[in-house]
Amino acid sequence: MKRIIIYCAFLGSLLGAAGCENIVEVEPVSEITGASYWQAEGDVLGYMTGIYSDFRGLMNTTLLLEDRSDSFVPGLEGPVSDAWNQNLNENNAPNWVNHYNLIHHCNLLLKYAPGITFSTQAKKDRVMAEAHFIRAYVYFILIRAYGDVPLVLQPTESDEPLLPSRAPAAEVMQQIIIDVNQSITLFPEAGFVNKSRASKPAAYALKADALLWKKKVLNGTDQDLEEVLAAIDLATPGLSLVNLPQIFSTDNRNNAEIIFSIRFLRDERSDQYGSRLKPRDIFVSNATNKAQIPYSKNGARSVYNPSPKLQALYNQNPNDKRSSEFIIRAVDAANQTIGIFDNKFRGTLDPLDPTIRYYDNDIIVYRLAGLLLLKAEALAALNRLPEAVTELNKVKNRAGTGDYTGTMTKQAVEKEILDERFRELYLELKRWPDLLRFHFGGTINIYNEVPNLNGKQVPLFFPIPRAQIDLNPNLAQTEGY
Amino acid sequence: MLFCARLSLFAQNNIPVSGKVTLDNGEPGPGVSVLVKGTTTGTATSVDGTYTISVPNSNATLVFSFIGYTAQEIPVGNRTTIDVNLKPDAKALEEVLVIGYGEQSRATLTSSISKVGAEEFSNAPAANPLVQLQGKVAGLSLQVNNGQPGSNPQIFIRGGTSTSPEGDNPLFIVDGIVGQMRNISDLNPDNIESVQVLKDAASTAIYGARAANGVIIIKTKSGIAGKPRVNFKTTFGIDRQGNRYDFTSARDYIYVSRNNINQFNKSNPEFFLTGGRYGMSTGNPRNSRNTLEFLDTYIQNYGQEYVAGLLENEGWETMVDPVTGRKLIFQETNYQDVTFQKAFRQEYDFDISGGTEKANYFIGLGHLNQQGLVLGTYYKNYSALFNANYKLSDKFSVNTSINYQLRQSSAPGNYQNILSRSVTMPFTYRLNYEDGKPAPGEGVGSFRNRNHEVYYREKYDDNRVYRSTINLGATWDILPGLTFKPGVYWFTTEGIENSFEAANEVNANRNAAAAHNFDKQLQLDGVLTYIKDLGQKHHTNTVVGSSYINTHVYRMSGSGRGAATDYITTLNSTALETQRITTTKSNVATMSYFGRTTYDYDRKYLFSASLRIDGSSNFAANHKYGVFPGVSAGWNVHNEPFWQPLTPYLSTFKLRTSYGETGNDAINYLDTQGSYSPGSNYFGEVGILNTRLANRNLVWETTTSFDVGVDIGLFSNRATLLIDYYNKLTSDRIFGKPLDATTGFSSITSNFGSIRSRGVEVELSTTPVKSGSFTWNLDFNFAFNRSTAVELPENSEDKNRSGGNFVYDTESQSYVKVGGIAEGERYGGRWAFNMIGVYATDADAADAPYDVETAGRKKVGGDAIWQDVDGNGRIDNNDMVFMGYIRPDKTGGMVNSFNYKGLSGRFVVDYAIGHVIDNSFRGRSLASARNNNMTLKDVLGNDIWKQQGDIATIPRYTVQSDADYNYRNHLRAGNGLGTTSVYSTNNSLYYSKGDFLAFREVSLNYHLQANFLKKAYIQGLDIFGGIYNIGYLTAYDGLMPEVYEGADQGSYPRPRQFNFGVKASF
Repeated sequence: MKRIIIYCAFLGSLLGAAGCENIVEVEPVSEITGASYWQAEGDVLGYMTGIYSDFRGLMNTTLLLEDRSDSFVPGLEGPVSDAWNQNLNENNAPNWVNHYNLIHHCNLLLKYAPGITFSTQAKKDRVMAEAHFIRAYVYFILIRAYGDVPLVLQPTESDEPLLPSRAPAAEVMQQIIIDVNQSITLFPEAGFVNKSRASKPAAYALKADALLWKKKVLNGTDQDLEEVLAAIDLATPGLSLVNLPQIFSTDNRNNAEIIFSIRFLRDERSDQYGSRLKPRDIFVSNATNKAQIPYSKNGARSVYNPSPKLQALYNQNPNDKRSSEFIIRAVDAANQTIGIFDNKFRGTLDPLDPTIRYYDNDIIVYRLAGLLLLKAEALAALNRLPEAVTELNKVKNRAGTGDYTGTMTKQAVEKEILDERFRELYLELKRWPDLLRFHFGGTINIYNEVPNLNGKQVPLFFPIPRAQIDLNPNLAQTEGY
Repeated sequence: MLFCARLSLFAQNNIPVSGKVTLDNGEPGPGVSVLVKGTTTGTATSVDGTYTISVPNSNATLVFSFIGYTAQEIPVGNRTTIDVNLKPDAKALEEVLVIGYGEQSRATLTSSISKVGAEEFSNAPAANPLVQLQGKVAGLSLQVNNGQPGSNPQIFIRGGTSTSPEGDNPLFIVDGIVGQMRNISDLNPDNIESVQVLKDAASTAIYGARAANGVIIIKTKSGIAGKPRVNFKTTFGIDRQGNRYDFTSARDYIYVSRNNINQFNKSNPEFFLTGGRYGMSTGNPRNSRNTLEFLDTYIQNYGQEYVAGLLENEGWETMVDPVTGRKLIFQETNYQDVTFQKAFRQEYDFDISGGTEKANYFIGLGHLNQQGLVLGTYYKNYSALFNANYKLSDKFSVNTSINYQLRQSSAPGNYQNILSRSVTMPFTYRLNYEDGKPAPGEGVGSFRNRNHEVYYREKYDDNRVYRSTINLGATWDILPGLTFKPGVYWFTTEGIENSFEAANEVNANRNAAAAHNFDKQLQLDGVLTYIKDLGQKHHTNTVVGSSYINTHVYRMSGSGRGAATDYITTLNSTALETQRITTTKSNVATMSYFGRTTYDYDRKYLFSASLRIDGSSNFAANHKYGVFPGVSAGWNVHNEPFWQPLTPYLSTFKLRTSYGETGNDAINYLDTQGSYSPGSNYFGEVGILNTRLANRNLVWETTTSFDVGVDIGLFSNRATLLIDYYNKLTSDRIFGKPLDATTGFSSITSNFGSIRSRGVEVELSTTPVKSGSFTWNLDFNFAFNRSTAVELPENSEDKNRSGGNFVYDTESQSYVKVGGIAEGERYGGRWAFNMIGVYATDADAADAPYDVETAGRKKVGGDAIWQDVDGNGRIDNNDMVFMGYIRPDKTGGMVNSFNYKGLSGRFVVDYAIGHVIDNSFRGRSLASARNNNMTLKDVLGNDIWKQQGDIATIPRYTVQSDADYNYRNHLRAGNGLGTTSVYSTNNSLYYSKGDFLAFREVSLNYHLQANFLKKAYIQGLDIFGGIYNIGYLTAYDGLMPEVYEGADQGSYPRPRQFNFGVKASF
């Protein structure tokens, strides 16, 4: 018996030899845990890079800001979105999870960056300014698409969700202005370090954009309009209008007209949303002008065509260069139209193989022409019509259409500004908010303006998915659904 | 042979005894152990059952023993010839089973274990041995939804432990190595001795935190003492597509597509009819991708002679265009024929085994070369297995096992593109250009003519997996009954993959990619076993041990493009600026301690208890260790004296019950810690984002199961019946708990809630006929399982439902939420829009309810009539009706085997009942998805609407895509109630029951023993042949009813296999 006990003790120690506590600890190699992040400057800068990457993904769609407008008609290959069909409901409502994911990232950075020592204060201020900018911009997308939205300013760090309710859009707007002002204050330089990232001019541009929305949609004041004018003046020094074809060209990125653009790089991300208005090669194989069409074998799908309404607006003036620079018509030998395609975002031909085109145009968030028209819009709203027309004419003259010669009534000038914005900025994710601004501002009735809304009474803001209300009973459905 | 010679040399005896051992069925018993009782002297019978042994004197007793047969002791006396006939051990109930860290006789077992023997693997035509388990084990769901040779089936036991059990793979233990399914997938079926399925928690609890999904233990063959035995087997087979899609001819496709465009498309018919855009479009010059053109255009452009050549020599055809009345010319290529091939298979297996009392060995070599049904796919496997035991002394022996496998395979790169798209390419597309090179078909980058894809891309694929397993172990018999078994296991899997695409008109870039994956696992086990009988009647067996497992995973992948030639296919030839490379590493460590004791009193009262403590690096510091107990008890009622009168009829009657807890640690370390991962790059800079929320409270999921069973043996166990009832509750469920999107995340890995699986299993094993030399054995099994959600995260919903949507309940006349997952409900339900007819005329359609999915399109004749369930004049998700469940709840199979002298035959069927399938392949074809689908014969039949006034059951074929153009007669939205994949119809028209009876195997084996063979040193010759996956008895109209995902998108069908082979024993 004694021998058994000795044997057992011996074997027991053998069995248990490996039994120390840290044997079941491993250190992650290829990813970092939350506990070990937020230690140094590089962590914050790398995180900001990640935020831009996600921002690019978030912006790479026409769904929220253009589909519901009059920019598009169905192209050669469907399906068009429920938003285009004005057929939105609780089941097909777009989820805002990616927007709040990006807000979470900004919140996280804004929470931890202040406690980290940087090599220079300017670097720290700049990255904080960028995060405030992106958060403001994402909330601005949300209130323009959904109206009232939950306001979340702290990162999610536990599995007990806050279950916020939807804050009135005006309250969210206040936060947007606070963030933009923070951003303006924090940016160390007045100009640009890199136009593919946010900057002080970009923050001023966003401020002007947001305040104009505030004035027209959220019952703002004329004071807001004055601030719009001031912001635009601060956003635009040193910028100039470039020749039309060069604005979007991939070999002339971040040119003198650009304030803020989101960079596409072929191997990083190249399926820019403009590819949804481009034909596959087989659709234009009979086109006599095939060589001019920005078609592609792969990666193109002509879900939408630029609308006849847009074409008609270009055709109002035979000198409008944009009718050929911004859109392109494929015609066959019998001069029949095969299809109409976007020509702004032509992508790039593969230098190794010129039969391959990939769509890597930058998404332009703000450019000078857009701000000039915003300025014209603010001036017109203040009834300073001649000044408004001066700004409007800068854009018109570049397009070759000459000065505005129409009636000098507020209504007429504002309508012209809206139309000019359409001609100039279609497919730049501006049209649906523009229509809403001028609708709430009293210039147009959006239900008459957008063919798909004719005779309908559908709400102008997007619904939220029913599943989200099930998960968070504090959320109310958008009015009208 | 060497060992044998030595054995007889040292034999110190003088009376030679010889004889022949026969088995119960009269056949010779090879490899039967013959031992002189009380000594170590022994031998084994040769293949013809004969033996020779020398005994010391006439008082000696010989012991004849053979696995599965009752040992016989025969005193030698004065005889020199002793022939023995061995009787089988009381069949299955007495078999010895491999249990966790030990073995146990079926007679004293108190848990639920099923065994599948070598006979199921020996002549099987499948590359993957797991496939052979289908229908053989009650309660084991085996789903093969992919006919690629070598592919892994989806396996789960007793309904799994999650709401999508397809991923609930059991733990696989191959010769002691604890691991995943990959450990077995390339194992040579010929080397398998047995597979055991541990189903209840009492048997699996000893594997602790990873055993909740059950355990499958695989044992490979080892040598038996005796002369070296050599087997050589060669098998040849042909695999063919069992069922085919019912496509029309190209002529009918052209006719109906052009005609329907002309009739139904009032907006842009020319876009479809001309311009060469689609399969039914003209406007295709000579040598373009599509062959359809007007005959006169061809004659005008290329001359009469050229056209005559096409028609006379190259099979081109002409027809009258239903639209213009002009003649059309075209060439038909059946893309179903292009995509699927007749596949050949060759297999060679060689093994040699033998040994002495001191040592034994088994060496197996195998090679399989199998083509897949899809053109260009194949599977090649080279395997080597070496198992050996050596007795160093009476108390100490060592064992070693070395297993090496090389797999080289090519599987479809993108199943969807090939199986639901390339196959449906209109037959008017050109197969080869005039220069003989493949044409791409429609030729978009993502999918094309399969021939083109193989020629330019897949033939360059080189995917190899190298697996090696080394195992060194020892057995130390310390004291009588006390044994220590340490073991070291080293297991590596290395995958080297290269792919390349030669320049072609679809992709001129010469894309190249490479991957190097390396997984290694170190396992250290130590097991102490103590077997002690206290007196005659108390038997105990105790095991304690520990196990350490460290798994390391390394992944490297790279890509590039722009090589200058097609001749160098590796990444070094690609343009430098296009080269991208990435690597990742991760580690998981687990430390476990376990113990088990079994006790029986006089083999009447049986008891067993086990305990395992597991620590895993996947969990946070305060939750690293978990404890998993298991207890079970049994009562061999037939061993009681009062039972004796019943014994002739009910020879065995055992009651048993068990209870235990097991875990599932299938989470990632980063789920507990949160993760910040790189990869969000912007403008050339590396970005890092918080991609996963931390949940530091995560623990393993626990499955508590209760099992009660009865083992019944009838008429001297001529028939045995095993019946089990189980009730399994999985709590602290690990799942992605949905989060309010304002958190920025859609879910967080959490423990919450519970689901229950309950069911009944029956395994019947009988010998209905046994007369003279004819035997018929029949094994039948049946399992019923019902899985329901028990507790779900609290939300504002009734039954805490998550997912799903509202439908109108006609009974309560109210809107109720259904679908998703809800407490007390079976999950996997599907709802669809109920198509109740087709509008015969435009006038009939005038009053159609408003359909929210058609974006205002006005209904006309030929559109589907949807049931407006709530009668509100509006067709929306509220009008969807229940179709059924996607997973069967009743499954089983039957194995019949017949023996007549040397001839044996098998007939195997299996079945599944209780699921529905959405035939979305058919739906998408009739919906003309992408405007460019080959037509099924439905479009010509009498059931489809063709013109005003037709009373039809299938809505019209519009040629314009049903979904893209908002017709929505065929393809409808799922609305949270249908299948989430876009490849689903959500239309009752395409739903049908999936119940099937599969004829899985009919095979024959003839065992030949003849003198002329012996002259060639051949002891025996087996000639065999069979047909596998013969067909189904089912109402489902797709290729195969083994679809458990709700929708059948177009599958890689399981082939019908024809198999022939010869096996020679030397």
